[in-house]
Formats: sequence, C-alpha cells, structure tokens
Amino acid sequence: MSMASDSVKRVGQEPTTIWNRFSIRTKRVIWAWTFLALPILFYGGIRFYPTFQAFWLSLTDWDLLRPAKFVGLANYQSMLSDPVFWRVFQNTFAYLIIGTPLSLLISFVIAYYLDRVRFMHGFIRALYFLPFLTTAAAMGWVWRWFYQPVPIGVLNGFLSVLGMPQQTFLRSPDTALVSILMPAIWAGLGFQVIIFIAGLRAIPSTFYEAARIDGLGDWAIFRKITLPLLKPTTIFLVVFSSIGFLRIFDQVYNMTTNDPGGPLNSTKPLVLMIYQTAFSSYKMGYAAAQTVVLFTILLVVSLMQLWVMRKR
Amino acid sequence: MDGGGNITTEGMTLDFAGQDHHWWREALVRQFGGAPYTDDYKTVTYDDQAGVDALKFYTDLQTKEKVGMAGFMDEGQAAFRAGLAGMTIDGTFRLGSFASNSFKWGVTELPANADGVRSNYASYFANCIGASATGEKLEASEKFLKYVSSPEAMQIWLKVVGELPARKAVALTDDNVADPIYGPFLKGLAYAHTTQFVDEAGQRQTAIDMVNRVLINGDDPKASLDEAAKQEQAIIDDAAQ
Repeated sequence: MSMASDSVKRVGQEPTTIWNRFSIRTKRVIWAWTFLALPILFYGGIRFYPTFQAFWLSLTDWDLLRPAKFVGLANYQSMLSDPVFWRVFQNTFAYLIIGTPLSLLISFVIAYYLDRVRFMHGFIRALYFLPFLTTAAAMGWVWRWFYQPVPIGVLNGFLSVLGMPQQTFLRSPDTALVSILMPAIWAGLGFQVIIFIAGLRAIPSTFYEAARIDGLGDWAIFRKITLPLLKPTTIFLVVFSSIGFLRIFDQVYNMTTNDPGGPLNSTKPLVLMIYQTAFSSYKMGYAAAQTVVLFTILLVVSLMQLWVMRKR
Repeated sequence: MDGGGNITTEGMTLDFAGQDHHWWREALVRQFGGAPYTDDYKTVTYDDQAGVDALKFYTDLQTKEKVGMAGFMDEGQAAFRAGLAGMTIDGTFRLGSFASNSFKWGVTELPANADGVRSNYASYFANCIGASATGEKLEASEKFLKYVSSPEAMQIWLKVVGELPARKAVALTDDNVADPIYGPFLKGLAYAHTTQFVDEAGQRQTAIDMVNRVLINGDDPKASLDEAAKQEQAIIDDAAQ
C-alpha cells in the first residue's frame, strides 16, 4: 500500500501540514501577529470603535429612547450659540492656564530644595505624595467643608478669630474657580515632585563638578545645566498635568453638588457639562458633540506642547 | 451673630437647590396671584409681576429681613439638623434623618398668604410594567403591582419608609391626619400642585441661577426672572421637539 510505504519512509519526520510548510521566519511573524492581535482587537473594540461612534453620535439627536436620527451639524451649531458653552470653554482653559504653570512651578521648587534635604527626606517626600493617593471625591468634600462660612468652615473660622472678614470661597463666581483649583493642584503635587526629583537625580553630578571647576555660579549652573537637562521631565509633566486640568471633574462635582458647576456656571468645566448633558438631560448626541470638542482640545494642546518643547 | 457680624444661627434655611425652588414655583408664585406655568406645563408664565414679587419676597428673606443666609452650613437640612436654624422647608423623605434630632421639633403646613391662599408642591412616582413583559413574568408583575398599590402595602410603606400613600382612603384616615408629623404633610396634599418637569435638573438649574443672580450678583429681580423664564422655556420647547 502506498500509504503504508509512505509512512515507513517518513518515520522520524513530522507529518506534512500547512503550518510545517512555512519557514521559521514566516512562523515567527505569524506568532507575533497572533499575540499582537489581542491588544489590537481589545483597543479596537473598547477604544477606537467607541471613539468613532462618538463622532457619529455627535451628528445625531440620540436621546437613549428613540433611535438616533442624523441631524448634520445642528449639535455643533447650538453649542456655538450657547453662552453656557462659551463660559464652560473659558473655565476649562482657566483651569489649564492657571493650574499647569502654577502646579509645575510649586512642585519644581519643592523638588529642587527637597532634593538637597537629607534630614527625614523620605518622610517629607511621603507627606507630599500622600494627597496623590487620596480619592478625589473624599478630598473634594473635605475641602468643601474647609471653605464653608462660619460656624463650620475651618478657613473662615480662622479668619474671624484673627478679626478678618470672611471670604466667599465657593459662594462667589469670582473666587469659586480658584478655590476648587487649589485642592486640585495640591492633590497632584506629590506626583510631580517625585518625577522632578527623579529627573534631577538623573543629571550626572560630573556636569556640576566640571561647571564648578570652570567657575560657574549657582544661577548659571541652574540655567545652563539643570533646566536644559530637565527638559524631557518637564515636557512629560506639562503634557500630563495639562491633560489632567483639561479634564478636571471630580473636584468640581464634589465641591458643588448642590449647584453643579456653580455658582452661575463659574466653575463648570467641559467634562461636567458633558456629564450633565448626557446623564441628566439625556441628550446623547449633543453630549457627543461636546466630547468631540474636548477630544480636539486635548489633541491640539498636546501636539502644540510637544511641538513647542521639541528637540531642536 | 458673632463679633464679626457673621451669622452663626439663622431663623430659617434658604436653600434654593433643595426644596425652596419648589416652594417658590408652586406656592409663592401662586400666593402672589400668579401661576408658574400654563395648565399643560408647556409655557412658562411666572415672568409677570407675581413672579417678581415672589422672587423678591424670597431674596428679601436674606437681603432685607436677614432671617437666613443661602449657603449657611452648606445645606439647609444640615443647618436644621445641627439645631442652628429655626425652620426649614423639606419633604417627607427627610423625616428619617430628622428623627434623631437632639431637640424638640414639629411639622406644620406652609404658611398661607394674607388672603388665606395656600399652595404646595408634591411629587409622586409611578410603578409600571414594561411593555416587553409577557407570560409568567407579566402575571407576576401584575400581582406585584396589585399588592404594592393595595391599601395594606401603602400603610406599611408610610410607617417604614415615610412616603405618603397615594390612595386617599389610606392617606386620610383619622389616625394619619391626626399624626403630628404626617398630618400637616397630608393636609398639604389637598392644595398641592405637581410640576411636570421635562428635565428636572436643568429646570431647577435655571431657578437656582435666577436666585443667585440676585443674591450674589445683586441683579435686578425682574431682569433675573425674565432671563430664567427664557432659559426654562427653551428647555421645555427643546424637549417637545
């Protein structure tokens, strides 16, 4: 029988399958793509598909109940003519423009000097890092109580003990945004300090020694060595904290639940507006249009920062 | 007041984000001779003199009469629970958290105006069966609905949860009406109105902003009221599409 003789002839060899006809190189590529397919499918399914879906939804009037109907750019039109949207747009950038530079400046100063402190260095660093570990919602509520008028507000209680007038903090459109921003900056400080310290330590000490031998002063060393070599760290933190401030939500929502984003919309960021449009007014299409705007802002701001701080 | 002129105890809570916006909309506006909406709740009608008077009456409680301060103790209910406010306006759902108050307290109806006109706000929920229920599930849900809407279940619900019964026969028993806590709430139901909100959070926001513009920014009540009416009408029209 030919079959029998065939198998006798091929004893010790593997049976011929399609798989075995591939070269080792091809097999490797197939394996690699098999493994890669998993994250690609995963991200495709839970990241990219919903993102494109949101773009599509922003062109519809979907309200959860009735099937979505294509309405073209109507959502974008009503957004641009809505004064609340422009107020929210302005607030979102206020969080970014005040929050990012201020938090980076404070955390850099702390990192720069903490790096030189030897006494209880680890303990102090842990104290700075602690707020970063705390839930934003819990922190929001505690600060909300700090800001209350007397008799329960700690800050106002302190002011009146000193005989000073109470401050409005969360109750006035002029002070509310900054009052919310302060705990948000404080909460992120620990993380930024740690990253800055790591960046500072990565600068070889030989550079400093050489500079000293050449007779450079402290300020010159700081400007010519520390800052330029810290640039990659700074870029990372600028992008990271900008994204954080652009999508601020927890602090605002928890500190103003009675009047979300208030008083008079003075603290409402884009994410809170999206949340309210989607989950309290059920205007999914309109909310998706606001999401597309947020997406675009995040994209443009991140790209701009990378471009400004690029290696020349 | 303390030495610095700061309020440390108030006569009544002013918390428009709580129940006060209902009080203004359905009670005060009507007591000043107006109506908050047309009967179908599709058109805002509080933007007249009665609305202005009602708004001014409310904001004057803080700015002129100085009997309360919005934002005192964060929330009105907190001020009352702490014993730092003499009166608060709230619903039956709050009774549970007031039950443990460490002082003597009681319930009464909302005040009538000089002509004896009373009004109140009441909200209710509806139990329903989903349109897709069939067969055994439909039968079971019908039985369940029949039970929860029975006089017996409503009496238990009032005792345990504190929500007022929907059936008049259950609600208006002599025992319930004579109850010092539930009695006033039940009496209030007789002249209560239910606002038909299309987006309660959104419509409430227009009312909160209306009061804040007067209390915080010092705006003219009429201008603020007109603005609120415009915004709320836009929300109602938008939902009708």
